[in-house]
Amino acid sequence: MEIKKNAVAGTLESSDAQITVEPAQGKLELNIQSSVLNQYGRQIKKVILETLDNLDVKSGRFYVVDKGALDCTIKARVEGAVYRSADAAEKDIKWGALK
Amino acid sequence: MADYTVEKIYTSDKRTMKLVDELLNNEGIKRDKNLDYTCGVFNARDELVATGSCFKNTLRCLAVNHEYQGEGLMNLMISHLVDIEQERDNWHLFVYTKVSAFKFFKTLGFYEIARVQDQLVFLENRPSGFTDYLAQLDSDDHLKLKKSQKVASVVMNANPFSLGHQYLIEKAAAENDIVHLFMVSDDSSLIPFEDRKRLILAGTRHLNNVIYHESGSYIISSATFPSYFLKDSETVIKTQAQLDIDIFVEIANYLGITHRYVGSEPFSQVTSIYNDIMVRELQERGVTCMVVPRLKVDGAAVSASQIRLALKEDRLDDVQRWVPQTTLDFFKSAEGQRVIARLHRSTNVVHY
Amino acid sequence: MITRPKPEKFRLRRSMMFMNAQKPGLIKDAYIYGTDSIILDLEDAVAENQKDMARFSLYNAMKSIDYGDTEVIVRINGLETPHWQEDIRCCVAAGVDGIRIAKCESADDVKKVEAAVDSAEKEFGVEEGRTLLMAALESPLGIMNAYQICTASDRLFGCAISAGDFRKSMHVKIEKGGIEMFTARGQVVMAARAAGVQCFDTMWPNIDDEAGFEAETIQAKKLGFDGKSLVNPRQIAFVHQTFAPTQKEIAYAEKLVRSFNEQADSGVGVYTVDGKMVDIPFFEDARRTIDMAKKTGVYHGDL
Repeated sequence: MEIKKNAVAGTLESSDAQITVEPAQGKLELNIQSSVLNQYGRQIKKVILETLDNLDVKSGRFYVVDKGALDCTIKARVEGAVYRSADAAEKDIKWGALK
Repeated sequence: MADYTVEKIYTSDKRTMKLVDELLNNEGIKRDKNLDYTCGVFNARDELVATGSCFKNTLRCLAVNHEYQGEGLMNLMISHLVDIEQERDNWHLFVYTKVSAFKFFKTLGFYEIARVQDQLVFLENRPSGFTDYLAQLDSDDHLKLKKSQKVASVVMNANPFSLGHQYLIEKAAAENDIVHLFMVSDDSSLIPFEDRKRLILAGTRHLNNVIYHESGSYIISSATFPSYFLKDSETVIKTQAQLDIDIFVEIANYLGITHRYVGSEPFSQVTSIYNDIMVRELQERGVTCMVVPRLKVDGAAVSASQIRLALKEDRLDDVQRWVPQTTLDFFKSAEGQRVIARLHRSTNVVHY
Repeated sequence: MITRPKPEKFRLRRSMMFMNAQKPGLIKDAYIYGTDSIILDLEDAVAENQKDMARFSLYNAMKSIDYGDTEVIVRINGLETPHWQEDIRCCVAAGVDGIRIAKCESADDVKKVEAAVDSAEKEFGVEEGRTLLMAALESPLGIMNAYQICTASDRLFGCAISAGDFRKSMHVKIEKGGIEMFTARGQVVMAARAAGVQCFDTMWPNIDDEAGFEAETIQAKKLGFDGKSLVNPRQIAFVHQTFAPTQKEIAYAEKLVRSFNEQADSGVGVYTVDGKMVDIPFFEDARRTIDMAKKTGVYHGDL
C-alpha cells in the first residue's frame, strides 16, 4: 500500500499506542518513543516492520508513541494508520490478508 | 475501570466554562485568551475532572483535578486533542508547559525544543522538527560563502510593512554581506501573513542581499505567546524574550549570523523590556544586537500600530507619509480594502 | 493465531459485559473477569470517527488474545448507519462467536444481517452457520415484533431488551421497581420462551446505586430472564449468584432427573414424580438447572 497522506491511529492511553504516518519519498523511517524502549524496543520495531511488510508498505515516516501496548495492539494501530493514509480504512478491508 | 467521557465544551456555555476556570485556577493556571477549542473530561457523575484546549497548532491550558491524577486522564485528553488537531489538518503540534510537566510530555511523544530555566519548556511532537526547520533555512546557494561574510538578521512582524521597516532592513543590508529576514508567519495579526509577506517582499525588492525566511511555529508573536501558567506579566515578557532568544541563537549559530538588527522602542513598554533582555542576552551568547533608532517622519517615530489606527480611521494621507509606495498601492487595491474593512470591524487595532 | 472453537448456540449466559472494542486496555484481558460472555462494542462506545480503527483493534485482538471459555459477541452498528456491513465482514473474518444486532426492529433486520453474515462466511472461508446472532430490542416496535425477530434465523440464540432508548421512546424515566419496563420485559421473555431462545435483561445504568442494581437483577431472574447485561465488573458476582439456581431448585431438579432416568430405563411411557404426572419439558428444565448449578459452582451432588 502507498502512504498517500498524513494519518494517525490509536491513542496515548495506557496499553495503547499512537501511530502517526507521513508520506516520505522512497524511504521507510521509524521513530519510536516508549517507556519500555530498553526492554521491548526491538520487539516493537519487529512487529511494526512485519506489519508494514505484510501490507507491502515501502515508504513512509512513522512516529510511534507506545504506552505499553501488546503486539496485537501495535499491529492494529499500524494497519489502521496505513489504511487511513491510503483513504481505505472505511470498507472492503482485506481482513483475511491481515495475518 | 471507571468511566470517563471527553466532550467538547462550547465557549458560549458559560456555566461549564466557569467550571473550567475554577479547575484551571486550582491548578495555578489562568485561562489563555487565545483558545479555539476546549474540551472537558467528565466522570460518571458528569463532574468536570480535567480540561484542555487548543489554539491553532498548540495545546494549551491542560489541567487534571488533583484528586483524579494518576488515572491517565491527561493521556485520554491529549489523545482527544491530537484527534481534533488532526481533523483541522494540524500534524506538527507544539506545547508550552511548566518545567515540572516536561517528563510527562516526553512520554507522550513530545520532544524539547528549548526551555527557560524554572519557567517553561517548549516542545513539539516531531523528534527532528527543529533540526528539519534549520536544515531548510540554508537550502539557499548564497550561504555556501557564509563563513567569509558579515551576516546579519532581522525578525519582523511588519504589520504592515512601513518606511520604518524598510529603513531598518536597508541599514542592515548596507552594513552586511547578507541579511536573513525572518517574517513572523504566525497568523494572529489583523493583516494576514500572506499580505504582510507580499508587502515585505515588494518593499525590499531593490535589495539584493536579503534572504527571506518564514518563522514557522518556532518564533511566534507576543499576541499568541501562551502565558497562562506564568505568574505575572513581567515574567511573561521576560520568559518569552528568553525563549525567543534561545531559539534565535540556535538559528544564528546554524546560519553564521553575528548581528541582529532591531528598532528602538519608544512606544511600548513591553517591547522595551523585551529589547533590553535581548541586547544583554544576545551579547552574552556572541550575537551583537544593533538597536537602531526608529525612523522619524515629521519629527515622530513611525509606528505600525499608528498606521493600523490611521487605516481604521480612513486617514490615508497619514498612511501615505509612513509607508513605502508599494504598501500604499496595496491598501488602495481591492485586496487592501478588504483588510481595511477588517480593521474597521476590529475594536482594538493598536495592540495587535 | 487464535481460532476459536465452534460456538454453542445454547450455553450459560448469565452475564454479558460490554466493553469498548477500541480500548486495548480493556479488551486485552477481558476474560479474567469470568463473565459468561463479553460484548465488544463497535456501536455507542466508539466515536463516529474511530469506527474504522475499532475494527482493526477488534480483529487483531480476536486473532491473538485467547478468550478461552468466555463467549465473545460483538455489538455492531445499527442498520441505518454506513458501518454495519464492514462490521460484519470484520467480525466473521475475526471469528467472533456471535453478533449482537443493535436496535433490531423486525424479522427483516435479522434476515438482512443473516444474509451479510452468510456472504462474509463464504468470503472468508468460515464454516457456514458458525457465526451466531442475537437481537437487541430497543424500541417499542422491536418489542412488539419480538416473536417474529426471535424466530427469524436459525443462528439466533436469543434477544436482549435494552432500556435506554426504549424509555425515551415511551416518554418514561427509570422508576424504582421498574414498572415503566414491566410490560416490555414480560413481552420479551414470553416471545423468547415461545420461540425457544434465550433472553437477557438490560444493563443497570447507575453504577452508584447498588441497591437499585440488585433489585433489578432479582426482578429479572424472577421474570424468567436467562441473564443480564453489565457495564461494570463489580456487578458480575451478584448477577452470577442471582442467576444461579437455589439449593431448593437444585434438589427438586435432581429428583426429577433421577426419576426420569429410572422410568426411562424401565420403558414406561408416562412419567410421574411423587405420584403426579410430569411432562417432558420439565425434565429438560431440570437438566438445565443441574447444568447451570455445576457451572456456577453451587452443585455438590453426583449427577
